[in-house]
Amino acid sequence: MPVKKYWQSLEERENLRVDIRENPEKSHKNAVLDLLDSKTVDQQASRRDFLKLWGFSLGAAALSASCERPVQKAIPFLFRPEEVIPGVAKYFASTFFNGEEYASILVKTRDGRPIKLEPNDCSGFGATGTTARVQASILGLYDDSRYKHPTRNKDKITWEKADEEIVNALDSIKAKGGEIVILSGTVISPTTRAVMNEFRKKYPDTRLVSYDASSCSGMLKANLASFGRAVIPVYHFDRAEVIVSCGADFLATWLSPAEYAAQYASRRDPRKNDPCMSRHYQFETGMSVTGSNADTRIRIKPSQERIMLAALYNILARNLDASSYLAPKSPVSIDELAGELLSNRGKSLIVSGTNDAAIQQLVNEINYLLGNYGQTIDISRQLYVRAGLDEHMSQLVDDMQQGRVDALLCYNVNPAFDYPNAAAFIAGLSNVGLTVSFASHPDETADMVQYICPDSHYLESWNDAEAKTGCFSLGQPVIPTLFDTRQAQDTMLLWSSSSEDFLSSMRDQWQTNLFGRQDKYDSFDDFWNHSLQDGVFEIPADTGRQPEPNHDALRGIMEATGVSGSPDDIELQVYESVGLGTGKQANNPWLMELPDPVTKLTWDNVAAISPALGKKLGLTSGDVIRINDRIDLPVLLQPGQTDNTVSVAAGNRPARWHPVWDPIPIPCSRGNQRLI
Amino acid sequence: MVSAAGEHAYSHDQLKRGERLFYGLIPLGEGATGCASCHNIRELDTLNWYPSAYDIAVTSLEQSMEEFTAVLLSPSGQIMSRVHQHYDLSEDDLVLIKAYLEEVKKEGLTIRKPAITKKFLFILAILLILLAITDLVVTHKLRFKFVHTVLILACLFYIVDTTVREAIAVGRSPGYAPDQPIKFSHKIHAGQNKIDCLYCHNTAEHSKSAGIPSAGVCLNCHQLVVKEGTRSGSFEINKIIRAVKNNEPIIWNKVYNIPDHVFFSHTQHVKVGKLECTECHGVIEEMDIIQQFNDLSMGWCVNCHRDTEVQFIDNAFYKKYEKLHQELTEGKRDKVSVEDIGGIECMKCHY
Repeated sequence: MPVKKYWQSLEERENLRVDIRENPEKSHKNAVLDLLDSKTVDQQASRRDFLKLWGFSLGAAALSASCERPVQKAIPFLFRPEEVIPGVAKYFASTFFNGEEYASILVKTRDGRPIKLEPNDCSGFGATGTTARVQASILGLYDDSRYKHPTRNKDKITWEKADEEIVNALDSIKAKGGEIVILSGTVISPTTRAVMNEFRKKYPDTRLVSYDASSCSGMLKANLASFGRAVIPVYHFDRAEVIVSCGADFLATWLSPAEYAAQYASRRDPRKNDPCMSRHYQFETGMSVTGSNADTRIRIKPSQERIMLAALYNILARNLDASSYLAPKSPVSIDELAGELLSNRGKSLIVSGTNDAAIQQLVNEINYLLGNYGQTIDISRQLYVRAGLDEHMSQLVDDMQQGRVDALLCYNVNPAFDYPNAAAFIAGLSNVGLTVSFASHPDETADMVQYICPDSHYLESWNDAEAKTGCFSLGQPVIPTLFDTRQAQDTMLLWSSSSEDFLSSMRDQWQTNLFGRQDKYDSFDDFWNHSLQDGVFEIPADTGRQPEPNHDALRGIMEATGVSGSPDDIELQVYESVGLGTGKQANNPWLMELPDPVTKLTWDNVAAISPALGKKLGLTSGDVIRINDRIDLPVLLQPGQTDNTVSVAAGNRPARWHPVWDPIPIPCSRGNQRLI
Repeated sequence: MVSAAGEHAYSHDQLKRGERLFYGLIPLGEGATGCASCHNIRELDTLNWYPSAYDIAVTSLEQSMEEFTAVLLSPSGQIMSRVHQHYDLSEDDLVLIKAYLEEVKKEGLTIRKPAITKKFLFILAILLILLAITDLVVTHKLRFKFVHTVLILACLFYIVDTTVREAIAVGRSPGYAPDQPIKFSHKIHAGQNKIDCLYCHNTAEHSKSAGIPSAGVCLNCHQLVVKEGTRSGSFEINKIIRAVKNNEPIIWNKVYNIPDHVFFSHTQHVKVGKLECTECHGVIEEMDIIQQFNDLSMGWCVNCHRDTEVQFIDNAFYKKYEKLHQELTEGKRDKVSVEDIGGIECMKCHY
């Protein structure tokens, strides 16, 4: 009985069809190494057979090679530290947070060098796994292209000189009443926030701006309008019988993928009966990892999402005796979905990955109608990993362009690449008197600032984090700083004329704020040491009160929902790929080598279109198209892609930031643009 | 004798005189021993407790003329002061001896090449076969075909036998006994003084590598207690002290090398398997220089895994093997070998 072989690309499928039509018996043959055939390579020969053949010949060659072996040396310590046993790895708990993704990790070290990251099973936060970007981050520690010392206008200077010059500049700005801006990614470290406040005490005219490359500003604003707090709620995918996701790739890239994937997986065993397997509906444009796991996947164009949600709200409202509004009909069939949702009230979960406040508010309303708050969504606890509001950043860029900003300190951000209007930011940068970047790895923004005061890698630094309400974790250095870098928080403390370093600040903060919230340890040192060993300190909390959302804006949103453009318009969707995301670790060779789970591509970026659109425009995989008159990309015919849409991955940065390859840069833009 | 650059440049005659003095061909004094009788100039295949000419050349290079003279004529160690007697050397001669040692440092010890090698015999066998076949078929010089047949068969046998043996021996090195940077004798330490293996190789119980002890372990005794060896004097012990002082780790030559594709864990065999070190590493207590006792072939490992009984009963590691424990108590089996617990699965060692 021959093993069924599934086609892995459209070309292979075409070949198989042709083959079955022409030689029905041949398609049942076992995979033999058909390279030796005079015809072209048959799709039956697999790469495995090729490797087997080569492996044998290489082995034979190696055997008949030189018989002399080199002398092996063994070099022991001069004085071996007691806890270092050669051959045995030591694990230390730490935290990973790069402004986008959070993970509590165990760092495996050998001989004092970290070599591997594992999930920290003491953490309740997705303790079953880490994502690709977390795993790859260890390579960034040993990156030779890291900034190795502070520079001023690309010339090497010492830390003392840099500190002196920058503090003088800041003092003079303060004296004339100028404005200092600290532009950072989302900061989830309570002690770092305290450090920034210290800085503000010395320089009162300091503005703190949070900027996220993969922004959730829409959701934050929606929750602000609905519940009065700009927060991201805590989701419980494991408590949902029906999961509906509108473009939220929650298994791979959205918000907290490791955590959601663990929760989701716990409800996906078809053999279990109590609780039984959940049902997953995915509405999306391009093929994603989450979409390929869905039970029902419905393709929609980005402009159709709001219409579909509005129609869904109306159907649910009518069945639940709430008021419905005038809105266009859904472009796709949602009756079955509505029926499932109605029979699973309080046990469903609707999420959307779109950065649009109106859509997110609609989602809130639908969830509220179905009674999901308090069950699968907990608005009383929040996830802190995104705090940036888009208008703060656009206000800042505006101010920079008008020359109203005198100093800009960039911490963990790269807007010269990933801000949608990067040109405006770059133009504004030249109007700022003092520009400093704390970047540890070279990036576009650091390339344009005056002073680079490089931050140490997170594996060389102290840090703490509060990723979720009540879930605190610590990060510790597992290797001394490899280069002449200094933790950004230490630098800021120094510039604030503080006498403390960051570690003592952390201990103070934990003693003041957290030590009293537990009763397991009597002495602070015990508490600190055990928390450091575990890596986490979690305060269990029950689900709090779930307020009713404010419905004022609903009518306006519903009535403003309308069909725009014609169905033949081609829409562009920019998404975060699993490996590169928004491009923060774009020069990491592991991430570039990582085949994208959907397209199986490595290194390159493509414009994914559906085979139907390809046929209509006469395009096949490999043809180069120009998008929005700006970017040329090769086409990939992607099965599962919505017709009349193009999907492009963000995050590929140009060649200077990784010396080998030269992909085309696509910054992660906020919305979905229309193609002309 | 001093060149314009200030360096010492010695003439060929002067270096030759230095060499003759070293060998003792020019008498060093009434009843004095020649240097080369203890400090070997040729590479030896046996252990020489005294430092070779190269060893003393390395140390003499760091010494000034006064220090060198002091070591030679009024040494502090017991062995040296017993042997370095009756020297009657002029200052010039001492300078020439030191100069000759500099030459030795540059050239190294002389290597004696063996007369007849295996390669030579192999090629000879091939030539003989060709000769016999040629005569048999073409030239017919020798009448008795019997001779040809015997010659061809004998050479063929030798060639095939050698090829197979050499092929099997590729990558294996039984009997490998490299010289080490310090002449450490296991016979004295493990045999005579009965120091336990695990005192020095203490990570054998905890890690996959048994480890070579750090210099600190040596200094536990040799810093204060044993400053001079009975046979090698203080020359070798000084090497440890010098390494620690200069912060340069000692670079040992690894004797037991398994290839990279093999995983071997000492802690599994020592702590769980409770094997004695000598079972695999041979009679260490009788070896001055460690030599590789077995061929470390896969067959050797697998045979032991098949035959050796594992201590199954009072062993916390094997508590989870319920089925085997049950069979033991029921009497269905009387011993558990490593094979029974999966010890010869490929993935156990080659993953």
